[in-house]
Amino acid sequence: MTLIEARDVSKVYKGESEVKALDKVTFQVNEGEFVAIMGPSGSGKSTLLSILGVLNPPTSGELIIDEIKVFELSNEKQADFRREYLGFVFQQFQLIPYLTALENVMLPLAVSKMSKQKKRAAAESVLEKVGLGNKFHRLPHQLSGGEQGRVAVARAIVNEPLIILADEPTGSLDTKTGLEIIELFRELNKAGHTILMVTHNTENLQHVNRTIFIRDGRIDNN
Amino acid sequence: MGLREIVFNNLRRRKGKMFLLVTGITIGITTVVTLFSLTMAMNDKMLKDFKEAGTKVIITPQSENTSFSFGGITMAANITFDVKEMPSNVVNILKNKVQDLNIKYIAPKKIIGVKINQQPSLLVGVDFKNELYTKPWLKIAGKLPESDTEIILGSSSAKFLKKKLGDTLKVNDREFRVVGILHETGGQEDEIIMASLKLVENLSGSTNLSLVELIIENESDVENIKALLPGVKVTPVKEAMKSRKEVIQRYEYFAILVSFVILIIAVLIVLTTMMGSVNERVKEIGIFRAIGFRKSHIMKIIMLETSITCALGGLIGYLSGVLVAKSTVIFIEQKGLFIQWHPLLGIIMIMGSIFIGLLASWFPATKAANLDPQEALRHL
Ligand SMILES: Nc1ncnc2c1ncn2[C@@H]1O[C@H](COP(=O)(O)OP(=O)(O)O)[C@@H](O)[C@H]1O
Ligand SMILES: [Mg+2]
Repeated sequence: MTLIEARDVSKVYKGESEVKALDKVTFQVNEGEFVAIMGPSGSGKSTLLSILGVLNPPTSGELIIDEIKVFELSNEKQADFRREYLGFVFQQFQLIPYLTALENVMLPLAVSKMSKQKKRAAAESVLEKVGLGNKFHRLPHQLSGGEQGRVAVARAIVNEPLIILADEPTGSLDTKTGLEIIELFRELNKAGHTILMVTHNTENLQHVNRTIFIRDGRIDNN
Repeated sequence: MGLREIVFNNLRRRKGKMFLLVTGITIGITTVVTLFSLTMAMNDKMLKDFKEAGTKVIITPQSENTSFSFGGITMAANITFDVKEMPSNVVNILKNKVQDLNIKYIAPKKIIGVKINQQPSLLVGVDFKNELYTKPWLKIAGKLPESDTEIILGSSSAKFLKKKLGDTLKVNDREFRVVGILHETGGQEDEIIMASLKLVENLSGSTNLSLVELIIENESDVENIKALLPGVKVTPVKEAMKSRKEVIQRYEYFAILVSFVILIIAVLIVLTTMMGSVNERVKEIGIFRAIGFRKSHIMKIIMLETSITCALGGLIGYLSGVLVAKSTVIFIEQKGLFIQWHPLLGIIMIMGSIFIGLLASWFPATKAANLDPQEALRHL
């Protein structure tokens, strides 16, 4: 079943000089797929991911997720949509430095109406799932790179999103720890999450269902 | 965890970040609280002083005639030094009502024209004991008259008449001994020639009075005295209170002006600090937005953070302001000035600080809420 559909999505950044970051990108992603997005630096991968993440409205074209035309929603509803449907794993993980591992994981639940205990239980359970059951109260700087990655993954899945979006999640890790994160994604994918991951690392490709290549803002089918 | 915990954890774990803000607000509020504590203490002291001193009331005969003044009091008189008089039973009527009207002192006076060295002069007959109570600033060299042949002189009168203690003075051909000379006051007492009321009554052959000064505890009794004595003029003396009130009022205006300036400075400090803070946290705000915080949530975070910080500054400022005021009073050795802990002032200061925080953080918060999350995350 089609979960994500991008139709002729273009993005032009207007600044001192116009940059056409995406040019009529069309593709579909089915529910349960694990998709890699690859391409040279500056080709538009992050732009594409931010559009899929409902953070960056396309200049033209349409994005439909779960039959919702997401960019037709109001700004506040888009925020609600992200909270309900999406989980982000950012480059360098971007944990909030003044919050503990547990608090970082609870962050996406901060504005939801759950009880305190439920939020805590949910965060503890995902932290245990990623193997950090004993490091709830560490601040990010007290964790290794791989552990920070795991907290970031836990934070991305605590709200049980349909879709996980990851921008070069292994970029800052050594091969071995990077592979651990990819393993984690594979498990999540098996558990039903649809995953889109920007990556530079061709070794990662053996773990994904499909790869979308991007060059100069276009899908490269070769 | 909710937005509040995010804010608390930020403030708790990054104390240094908010140090400037708390310090700025604290200094501002300390200044305001010090000024207001001092003016309030001055006000309290003034009210207490006047309550203790009581209200002075002057009772004079009704008159439309020319008047002259004595001891700062305007009196009815005709041109020939024939001072207008009222019957002495005024004093008896008042003495019967001492309890009801909370009268502290009754000081009757009789002023008559006399001849001294062929010159027309005024002789003032007083009840010395009560007179000195109502004019505590009078100091005498020598003693008070004890017999009907003794008088005292004001300092200028003594000089003018060339009399020293123990000299004799002829008044209407009768001889009197100068037993006391008043210290110079710079006022009209310097010109006075004073004798006992009884002596003046004897000299004039009448017990009528020219003037009665009263000290009462409550100003509100003035109307009752007026009702009690319909034939005479009853005038409360308020000048002293009024002028001191004016001085304190000037301090109050100063405090208000300073507070206003501080309010503006505080708003600017909060505004620039929070703008800096928002600029520093662009990334963090982008992450909040990406994981589904609404714009309004971002605004709440920034404004909550600012108001908590400002409230803390307000609380510390209130505490230190009162302490500074207390030590100021000790330092300037102002006895009787008592600096109080006014919890209401504290609450007003904390609320005011929160108001400053909300006012000044509104713009940075709006800016934070409207940050483009993609732009923010792009520089990760
Ligand atoms: N917010 C932006 N404003 C202007 N130009 C941008 C912005 N974001 C990306 N770009 C430009 O768009 C192009 C694609 O960038 P990006 O999507 O980050 O590529 P990638 O992630 O593949 O390296 C680049 O030329 C980049 O400079
Ligand atoms: Mg990129």
